[in-house]
Amino acid sequence: MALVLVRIDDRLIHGQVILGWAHALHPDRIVLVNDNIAKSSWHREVYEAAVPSEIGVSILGLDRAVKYLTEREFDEERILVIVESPRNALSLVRKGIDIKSVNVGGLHHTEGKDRLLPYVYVTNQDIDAFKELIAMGVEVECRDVPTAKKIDMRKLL
Amino acid sequence: MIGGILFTHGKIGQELLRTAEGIIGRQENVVALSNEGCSGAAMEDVLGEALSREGFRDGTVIFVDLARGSCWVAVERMRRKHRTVYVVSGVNLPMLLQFFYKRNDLELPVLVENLREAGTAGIEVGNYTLFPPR
Repeated sequence: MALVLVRIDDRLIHGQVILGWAHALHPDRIVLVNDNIAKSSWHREVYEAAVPSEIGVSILGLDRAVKYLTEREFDEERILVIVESPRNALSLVRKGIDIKSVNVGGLHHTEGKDRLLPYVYVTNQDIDAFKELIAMGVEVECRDVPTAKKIDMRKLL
Repeated sequence: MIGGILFTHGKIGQELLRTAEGIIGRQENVVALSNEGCSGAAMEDVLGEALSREGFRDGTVIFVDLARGSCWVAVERMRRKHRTVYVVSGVNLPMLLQFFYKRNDLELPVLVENLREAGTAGIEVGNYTLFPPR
């Protein structure tokens, strides 16, 4: 298994992910890690339908995602992982998934968040999660689209 | 009257609506919304607010620019709660004009098929319009 991208994006699976990143990275499978969506068959179907048929898709809650990614460690599959929040990404790392780099692709504005970039707005909780990821040796880089230049999260915090 | 919502990236919907109204005149029960700066959850809020308004409760066509894009996904997530909502992607000017012409005459499921045809028929290669290739 190769994790071609681990992306934090509160829009989850959408145009930037499919037309931008999947087009550039050619993953065999997209793994969407999200407890709420995994619980709802309706929402699962919506996101499954958002992925073109040539790419596999698995929508899993955190625990099942950890199991899935661990069991497939030595498979050939190229996997693109999507999570909704920095905390979700941190959970995967804490549970032992070998993630060397996390892409921050979209954390949109809501009341009370601080702006780091036009497409990255954060809460204090988000900042704590980023700091912990960085302290654990994980690269945290911001890029909305694959052609953008990486912006190191350490320079923004 | 069947309502219309343009739900698109950036100002696409706003400008399409402005242009359509510039051609055929002001229209009712139609609104243009953008996903700019919105998380997935915020998109659902924006859409939910619009759908709760007078004029959008009894059947609405939601036009999006990109199938499987964020706007499309947001509509699909909400469609369980809003059974009289149809979503059509690839919105263009011919499709939108057809909507305004036909929305009082056709039932929703027929209307959306009609819109698909109008949108597709609006795409022509100019070189072949007068002189079709043999």
